[in-house]
Amino acid sequence: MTVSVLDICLAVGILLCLAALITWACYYFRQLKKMDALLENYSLWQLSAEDVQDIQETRESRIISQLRQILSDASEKERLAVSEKNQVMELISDLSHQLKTPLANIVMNTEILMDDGLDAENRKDFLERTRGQAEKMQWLMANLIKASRLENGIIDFKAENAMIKPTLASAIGTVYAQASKKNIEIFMEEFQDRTLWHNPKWTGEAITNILENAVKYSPEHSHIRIGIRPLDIYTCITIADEGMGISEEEYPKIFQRFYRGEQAESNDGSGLGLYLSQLILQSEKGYVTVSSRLGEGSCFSVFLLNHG
Amino acid sequence: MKILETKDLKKYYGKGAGLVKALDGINLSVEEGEFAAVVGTSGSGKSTLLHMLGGLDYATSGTVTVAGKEIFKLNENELTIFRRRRIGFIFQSYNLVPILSVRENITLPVELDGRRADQRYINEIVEMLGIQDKMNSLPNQLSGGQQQRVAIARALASKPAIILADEPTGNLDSKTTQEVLGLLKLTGERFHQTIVMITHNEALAQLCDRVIHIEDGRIVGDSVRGGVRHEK
Repeated sequence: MTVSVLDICLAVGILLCLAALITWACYYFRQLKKMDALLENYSLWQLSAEDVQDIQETRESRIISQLRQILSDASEKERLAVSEKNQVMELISDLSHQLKTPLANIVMNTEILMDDGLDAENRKDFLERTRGQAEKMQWLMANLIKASRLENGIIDFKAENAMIKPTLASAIGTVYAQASKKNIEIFMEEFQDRTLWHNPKWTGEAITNILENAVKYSPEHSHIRIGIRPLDIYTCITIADEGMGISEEEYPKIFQRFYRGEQAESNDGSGLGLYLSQLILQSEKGYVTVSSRLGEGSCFSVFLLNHG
Repeated sequence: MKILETKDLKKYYGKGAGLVKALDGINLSVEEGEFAAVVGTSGSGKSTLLHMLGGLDYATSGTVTVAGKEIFKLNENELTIFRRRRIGFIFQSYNLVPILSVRENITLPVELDGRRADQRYINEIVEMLGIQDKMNSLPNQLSGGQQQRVAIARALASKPAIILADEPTGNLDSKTTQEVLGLLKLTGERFHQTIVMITHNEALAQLCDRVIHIEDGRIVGDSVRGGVRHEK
């Protein structure tokens, strides 16, 4: 049998094709193996700082890159679960820390009250103080737990497109008595009522906290002005007081848990009011910022979405 | 986990008498999901820091690790691809492509990478940013605030490991600034993005979880919201 040139070419051709096919198959399976390895141990991406598989121009590289992204998202969720547990522990620690002082005061007061030699007026005085401390503890408990639930998303209050005037009115109503005691007048500028995305009860509370803060740090016979500025996506509710003001460095700090501020009195309040306000507003996709100058009053801006 | 970490980062320009220490040993780390601000005056080194973090320039010494990779160990090609896939940028002057529509601008980084854009994800983003009606418009038909929102959408669309924002509200008026910042925070939280914003304006940092102060190339302050307690 004679073998022609054509036959040889054909044979070589087929062999080459086969070789190419096998090489391609090997490469393909190697890539699949890499992805298998990636999936098996998804913390791999943290350890391989030298690995540059996912930043080549190849298609496999793109897929590996996306896989890494997905896996890192999954591991992030795991981490969040662990951090929630830590937050509960933090809450317990906070509670015990904050309740320590009022409790000690109550114990001390009752010891004094047990003294038979105490006259009626002093007795009344100490009873008042004891009640005051107990009320403070109640308030603290309620708000700390509220804050913790909001942080963990356990309370999921529903926001809705609701009219804003009633919400503002109820907030003003709540602080009216406090403000009157200091002869502080609260003005709300005239505006056409509109719907904003918020939960009336909770937002009312958030704004009440801000108003209470304004009343607390404003001098007697001063004014608090509430204004409204509609923007593209949000509407801004401004609450301006004529109080002692806040320095720029303190802007982010005043919204922190238990922060009291350098100029604050150490008796009133607990440093939770503004923190809760920010939490509530952020839960309904809003937020609050402050703008202020020391000695020149502060302006709190509450942003609520125009529609949810 | 730490999405960003620098170790003793230094960037020096010139030499001898003319030596400028733009960054003089920065040790900084950012956790995943944080909205951090780097605040400093002009000349404090904050822009240089951003360029280092984004791999836009190489450092004199020290390391920057983003999403587990030491970026200065990568060559130019690898760094380019890494930036494209892992880092989102928002600039002061929006930097949108003028001849492309809003929709095309947003999907540009994803498509440059040869991937198809996830339309559902992008629709969610633009609805949250309030620009869903402008998808077919050109950038020059939008206001400054709207253009910056498009830039935010663009940064979010490719789901980067970290978004770096250089004075994102620098060209906006005060009202728009407040809105854009709020949106940045809102979308960052909603889509689980880590954002590092540099600014000279202290007041803008109040919405951030973390405020880092930089001065003369060094970190002089680092406060975390919610983590600062006043012990009695």
